Amino acid sequence: MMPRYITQDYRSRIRPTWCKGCSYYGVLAALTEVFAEKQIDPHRLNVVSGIGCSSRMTLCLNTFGLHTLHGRALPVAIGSRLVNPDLTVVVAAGDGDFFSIGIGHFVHAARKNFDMTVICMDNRMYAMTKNQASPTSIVGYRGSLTPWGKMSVPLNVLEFAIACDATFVSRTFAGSQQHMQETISRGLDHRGFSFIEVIAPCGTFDRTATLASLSPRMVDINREHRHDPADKKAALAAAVQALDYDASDDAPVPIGVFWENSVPTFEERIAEIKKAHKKKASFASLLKNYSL
Amino acid sequence: MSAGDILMKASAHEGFDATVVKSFPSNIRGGYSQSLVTIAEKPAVSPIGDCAILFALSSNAFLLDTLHLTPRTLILVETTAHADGQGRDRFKQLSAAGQTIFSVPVLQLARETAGSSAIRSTVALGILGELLGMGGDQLRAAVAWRFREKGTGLIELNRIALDAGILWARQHIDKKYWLTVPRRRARTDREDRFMLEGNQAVALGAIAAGCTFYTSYPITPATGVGETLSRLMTAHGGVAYQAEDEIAALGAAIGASFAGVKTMTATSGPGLSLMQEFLGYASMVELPVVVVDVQRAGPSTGMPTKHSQDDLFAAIFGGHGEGQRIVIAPATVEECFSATVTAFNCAEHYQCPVIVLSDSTLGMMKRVIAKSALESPVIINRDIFTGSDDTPTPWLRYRLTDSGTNPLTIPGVSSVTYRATGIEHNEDSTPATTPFERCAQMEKRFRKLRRIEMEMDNPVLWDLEPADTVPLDACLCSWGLTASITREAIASLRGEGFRIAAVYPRLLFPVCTEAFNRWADLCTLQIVVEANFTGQFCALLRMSTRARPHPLTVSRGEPFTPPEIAAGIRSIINKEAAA
Ligand SMILES: Cc1ncc(C[n+]2csc(CCOP(=O)(O)OP(=O)(O)O)c2C)c(N)n1
Ligand code: SF4
Ligand SMILES: [Mg+2]
Repeated sequence: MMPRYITQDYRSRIRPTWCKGCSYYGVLAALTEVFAEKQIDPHRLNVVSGIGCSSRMTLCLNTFGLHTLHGRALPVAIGSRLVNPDLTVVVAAGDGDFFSIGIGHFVHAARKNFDMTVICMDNRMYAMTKNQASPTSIVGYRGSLTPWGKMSVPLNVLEFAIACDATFVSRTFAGSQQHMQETISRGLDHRGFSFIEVIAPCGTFDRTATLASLSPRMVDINREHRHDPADKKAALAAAVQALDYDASDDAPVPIGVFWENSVPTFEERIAEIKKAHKKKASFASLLKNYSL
Repeated sequence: MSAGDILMKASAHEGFDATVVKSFPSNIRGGYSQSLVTIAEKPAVSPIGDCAILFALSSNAFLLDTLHLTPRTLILVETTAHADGQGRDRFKQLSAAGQTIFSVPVLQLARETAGSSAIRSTVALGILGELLGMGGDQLRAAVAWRFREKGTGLIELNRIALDAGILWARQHIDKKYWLTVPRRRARTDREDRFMLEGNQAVALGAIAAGCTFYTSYPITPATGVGETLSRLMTAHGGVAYQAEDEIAALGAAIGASFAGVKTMTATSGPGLSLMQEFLGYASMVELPVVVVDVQRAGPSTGMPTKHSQDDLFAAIFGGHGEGQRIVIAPATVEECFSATVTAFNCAEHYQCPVIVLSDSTLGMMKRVIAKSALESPVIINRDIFTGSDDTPTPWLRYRLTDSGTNPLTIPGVSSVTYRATGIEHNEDSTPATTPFERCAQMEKRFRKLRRIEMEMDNPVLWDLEPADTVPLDACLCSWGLTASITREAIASLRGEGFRIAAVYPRLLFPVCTEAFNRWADLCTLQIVVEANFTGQFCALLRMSTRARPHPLTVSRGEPFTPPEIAAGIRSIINKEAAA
């Protein structure tokens, strides 16, 4: 049977405004491939983003979507999930968006285990505002507001996501279409908060890392280290080492699914409560609570 | 605090109109709190007025509660509260000035009869009930109701305390001091009358309007809205969600609105400040959402439990850029219900955020309301386009229509998708870059609200002098709870022979320019009464209409009283006449 949707059906008419050589093109391609593979109706998809180069993703898709405020994609996505659990919700934004201005929302969205796929396009900087240090930038990173070099250590987002009780924590690489598609596909399949960090260097402002230079260093921990994502101890140990590759220029970069477990989602808990009220109470019956 | 509720309930059962206004400090327990109970034959206009009886149970209450006293107020004061120091001096002073004042050993009575001083307010209640000629039965029933969840032991203790109070009043207070309230037959239509707080009325208004998603972050004095909806919403088939902060609350409300349902969040000043960026977003993407601001005295933490109307500018102009917002203010508990319904209707119709400005006093005051005030309001639902075979591509979500609005498409419902973006956009929701595109969309968005004054039911309420020909002494305007207090002040000024016309806006923004230009033409002396320091609505009228009103303001954490407003108006009129 002919598939109903092809990859192109998920692309809007907008040409991305990304620079030539931006690693986000790959993420866009991977997303549309996975949507087509799963044949998700575009009008049942809600792709929510914040503000940044990465957050432009929403505009490039032909699904429903909300291009919101800097750092605020998650609450908006949550609202749409809470009232329409049939929607497939993807949240796509940058490292600055999720882990600087929006980090408070991340903690709670993860802990409450909303069923959505959360993709952080991590270029380890604020690119849109022309190169400032972000929470994931390395120590000493020279951004335009820290010409003397960033003074804090990078946030390990995988360790952080596990600590926030995200129920699916993974990392993939914008230079590998296949790995991105596999990871995003698994993230969509996972019932609960699926966090995916995409290593996605900025083609314009990053003077060291590029897709080409990073590519040979990628090591899939599930395949090559037989890492079991159901083993929490192992997951934490692997996550703790996730940034060790910063120590040298040729150290392996671990990617793959670090942690996955199954607990009821927030939406499922709400459905339980709703079920307890079998019949919808009328307005008149609610009023009775207040009669004299 | 519960004594006020009990007295109110008992009076309402007798068929009176009853209101209780509460004032308390922002402590969990302790400090000085006050219940102002109004009992009236006909529905009272103002919930605040001269005090017939003051019962002071603490020296703080005795010393500080002077706002509503008149030389005719009957004062009852707990014996220990005036035993020494300032209390003793004040007692002497008041007696010397001829005030009727009784020392009442409430604490002692409570301890001796019920064995607990904690129950003293029930003793006071018994005394008050007797002075009002209420008869013990209604009070006993109301006490049983108030403590229904606390068990029969406590109900019995309260009953003993109540009887002690009744007996004490009979033995110690001469009948000439009793208030002669005309007795009525107890009403039997209890089912059709409701006892509601302003915040509860807002919550019920939301449900009546069809709201199925409520989200908020706790903040005094708005929490009551959320507490009510958290209990009712699930039973009604909706969702109530506690967000991690006010930014997330409004964000989730917008996300849910995009997904097709009617949504609301409630907060107070500090939360409204945090919501400003998302309010701009809702204006830009043209999604309906209702935000209730139960104002408290700001700025910063200010006086968290205290009355104020100082968020008007924040509601209208807060945040960056110029977006469409509608601001509505209820003046009574009944209007907390109807204004919330109106807010949803406006949000759905105009596709923009609507802010309901309540305040701490209005939100937490309780009132007896007739069923008719809560029945079958007109409901407007958003225009939804589900898609058709010949849907034009691209879909023009922001088409340049005459009305400025277009149908919405809903994820999962409509086959036609779009991306809502806070970036300035074209008709098809793609980012716009040229001055021409920007102007077209700005004009389109502002076009939506151009005719709201004509399209909305009763955007203002007029109170005109019967004869149009008499020259007026002044024309008045007031909004929110202060409008209710002003109405009573005007009634008394008219009694003195002043000729006054008044207008009370329900729609504060966009400003009803037609109505206010007409108002300005009625009389050259115009006055706006409101509870903020700078006279915000007054300034708004100067900015956008022919009116040149004088401000009459108060910003002290307590509402105006009718005599204060009357005095203020009188003094402005006299000053103008002298000039
Ligand atoms: C409240 C607010 N503050 C600041 C900005 C400016 N701003 C736009 S994008 C951005 C950083 C984006 O960084 P990131 O999320 O990592 O995305 P990237 O551009 O790197 O993909 C900032 C600070 C804004 N839009 N809103
Ligand atoms: S600045 Fe960097 S992140 Fe932004 S579009 Fe260009 S390459 Fe991509
Ligand atoms: Mg970034």
